[in-house]
Amino acid sequence: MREGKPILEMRQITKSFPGVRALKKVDLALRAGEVHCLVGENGAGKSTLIKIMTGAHSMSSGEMLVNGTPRELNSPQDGRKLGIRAIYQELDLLPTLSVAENIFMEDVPKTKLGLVDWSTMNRRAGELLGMFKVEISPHSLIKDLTVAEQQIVAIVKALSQDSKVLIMDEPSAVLTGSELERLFGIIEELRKQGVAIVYITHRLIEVFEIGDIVTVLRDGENIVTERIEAVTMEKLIQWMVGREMDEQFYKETVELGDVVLEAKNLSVEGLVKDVTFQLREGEILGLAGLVGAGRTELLKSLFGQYQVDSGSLTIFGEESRLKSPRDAIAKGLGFVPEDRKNEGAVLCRSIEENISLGVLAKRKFKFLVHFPTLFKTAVELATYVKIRCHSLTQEVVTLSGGNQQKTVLAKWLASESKILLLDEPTRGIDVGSKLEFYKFMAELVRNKKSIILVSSELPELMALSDRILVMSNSRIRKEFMADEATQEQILEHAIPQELRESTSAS
Amino acid sequence: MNNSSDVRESIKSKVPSVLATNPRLVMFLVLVVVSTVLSRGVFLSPSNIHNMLRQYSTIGIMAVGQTVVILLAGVDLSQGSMMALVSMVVAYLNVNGFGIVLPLVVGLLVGALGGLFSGTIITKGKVPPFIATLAMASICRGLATLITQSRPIYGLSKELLVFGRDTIGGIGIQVIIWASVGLLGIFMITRTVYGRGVYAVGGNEKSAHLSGINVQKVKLLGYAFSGICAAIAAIVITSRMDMGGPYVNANDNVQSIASVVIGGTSFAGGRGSVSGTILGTVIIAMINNLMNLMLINPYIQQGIIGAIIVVTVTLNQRKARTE
Repeated sequence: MREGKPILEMRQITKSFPGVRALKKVDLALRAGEVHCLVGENGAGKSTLIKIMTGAHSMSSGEMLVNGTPRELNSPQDGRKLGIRAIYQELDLLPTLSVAENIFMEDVPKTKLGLVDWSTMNRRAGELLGMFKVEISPHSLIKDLTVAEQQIVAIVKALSQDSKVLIMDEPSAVLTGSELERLFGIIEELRKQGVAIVYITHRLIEVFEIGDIVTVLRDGENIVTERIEAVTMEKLIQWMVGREMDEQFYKETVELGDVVLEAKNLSVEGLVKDVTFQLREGEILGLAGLVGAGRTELLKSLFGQYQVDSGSLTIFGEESRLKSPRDAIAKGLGFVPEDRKNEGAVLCRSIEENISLGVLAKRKFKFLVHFPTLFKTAVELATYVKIRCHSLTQEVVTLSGGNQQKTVLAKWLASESKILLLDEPTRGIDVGSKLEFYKFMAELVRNKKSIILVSSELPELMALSDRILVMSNSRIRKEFMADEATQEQILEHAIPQELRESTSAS
Repeated sequence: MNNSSDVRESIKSKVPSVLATNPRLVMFLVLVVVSTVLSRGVFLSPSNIHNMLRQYSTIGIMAVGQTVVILLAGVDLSQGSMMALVSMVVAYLNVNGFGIVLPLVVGLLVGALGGLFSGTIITKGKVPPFIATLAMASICRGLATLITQSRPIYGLSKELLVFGRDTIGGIGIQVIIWASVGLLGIFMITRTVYGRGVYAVGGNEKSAHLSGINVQKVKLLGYAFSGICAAIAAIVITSRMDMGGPYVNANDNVQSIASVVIGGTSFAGGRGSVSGTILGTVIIAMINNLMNLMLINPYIQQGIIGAIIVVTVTLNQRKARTE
């Protein structure tokens, strides 16, 4: 345990936005070589806190000490000069430039003539990448890398300039198994080098795997800061939600009705191959599979986004040829996409307008919109799905991830969708909101709606679904009743044949 | 919650916040005061205000259409040339004995079809709006000069001059047309299903598509509307100048975009309003008017307008960032 002086200390930080107080007198101290985990529900103030730390936001009151000296940061550049850097969930890499160019974006090595010194740049990028024992070429373009590799480049970029404090905002959200281990390896390396790390995550188990110390924020307040050894998972969750949580998942048994959707030998060129299944009223059908197995593509084909090449799709007893999402919506389908920022919500418009899109999708109005109807629906549904906001005229971009997701869902409730296609609906959402979401799904199926759920978190998928279809290489490989399947069995079918052979051979 | 002191408190806090969140209104008020003082009251005289509005009605009309296109995250660079084409078409038909109604109808149709054509290139051909409308501008300009080998057309019938010269109740008809087109634009954008579609498509095309909006149709209609606005502006200017001109105001396209931008509509799409644009045109008109009253060289005036665009957009960006 290192008890040295903190590199960075935040004292009594308060931040007010018009109408809300985002942070109330928060204290936080970071020490060299320490991994400080920051957890809390969506909207608890984590993002605001790190934005103040990097200088992206100013604080309303309080003070920040860097190496014992009070400092005032007015921009992220100020923060960077002091060695404070953040890697955000949305990686700020430029996709069409090379790895080396991205790493040295802010400090391009130059020749005597003031031109870009490409050879030095590529050599140094190679050295930095080598430190992390990763096989990424400095010449590769960012867009050709996997998300995990991009993450590593972002970390290397942050470290290329002697960072003393590195803030990682949910770095694990998009990573899987071995990639996660690699990330932890890198963090371990950084710890040895004496970097102070702030690690934000929703996967609480990681706090115990990688953290030295944990701070829990709730409603903008610092609830507790404690060394990991003195913390248990139960306590952590309790601190986060402010009450005891004895359940992680929630599921009700619902009597299943008639078949509402049936796919027969459905194929979409290169995306979906020969898919056959049925969905019944009140059912939650889980789609398991690895990233790229074709789950999202299947949902999008059912939703009319991709044109079906062969096979048939029957919705509520009618054979349907969907030409666009518009047709699918008319048939009673709703789709909550994985990428809620780019595909789900219209971020720069209000909550009301987003929910109203659902009402408009029903083609209820021909020419004029009827405001009382729209407002009434929006208020009802926003209350129903419990969107936390101060006004429905607020732009969706100002909401936390969980609340953005609820807005998208409210849109489909407004369109009275009977079949909901949910693609990773709980990704990046905190424990408390997740449970709320599960209860909500239970209520939906109780009200005779049907759900097709895609989730990469197997325990979640197994707990919520009635049946699970396992996909790999664009095909459905296996069907399980949810209560009969084990994680191992599901994974066995999710891993493509070729991969399985190569791993067993090695 | 709703006791009277709270209400008073919220009103008190709202007045300054309306001004703080709306730099255009501040700019407008400052301009009114400055102009009035500098011109020793001449600025506020009804005749000055009326002249100013008459002069800027064509730009005002174009800007309404331009707003819809910019809200859709596009831009229409063909409005100015479309005006020239429509001006020539209307004048040509009029002097060749087709009366009044037919030339006007054909003129509006040319505007609408031209817009639909740009829209089709943009939606079906996936050509960026900047390029598509630039090409359209070239086509229109070419056709406009082709009609008479670039000579203006004179000798329009008297009835055609109504739109740019007559008044109703002391108010110039072109001002009334501007007001009508403006109100139509506001109505279309805020009250109709189509308007909701415009904001959704401009804000996030993918989400809009996945929410069942016919994105292509919304865009096509937007460009058609912009073309129609250019055609209406062309009729007004043809009438005011008493001729069909193949080179009418090339600078108007810039001013129409400037009105939209000063009016607070985001070039990224999805944010903005027609009412803001109308205020934007009035602000440009006032600045020009003020500079005229102060006898500033007209060539310098253009530069000043440019500087003002830069300043307002910078302010808008800063505001967007702090939010």
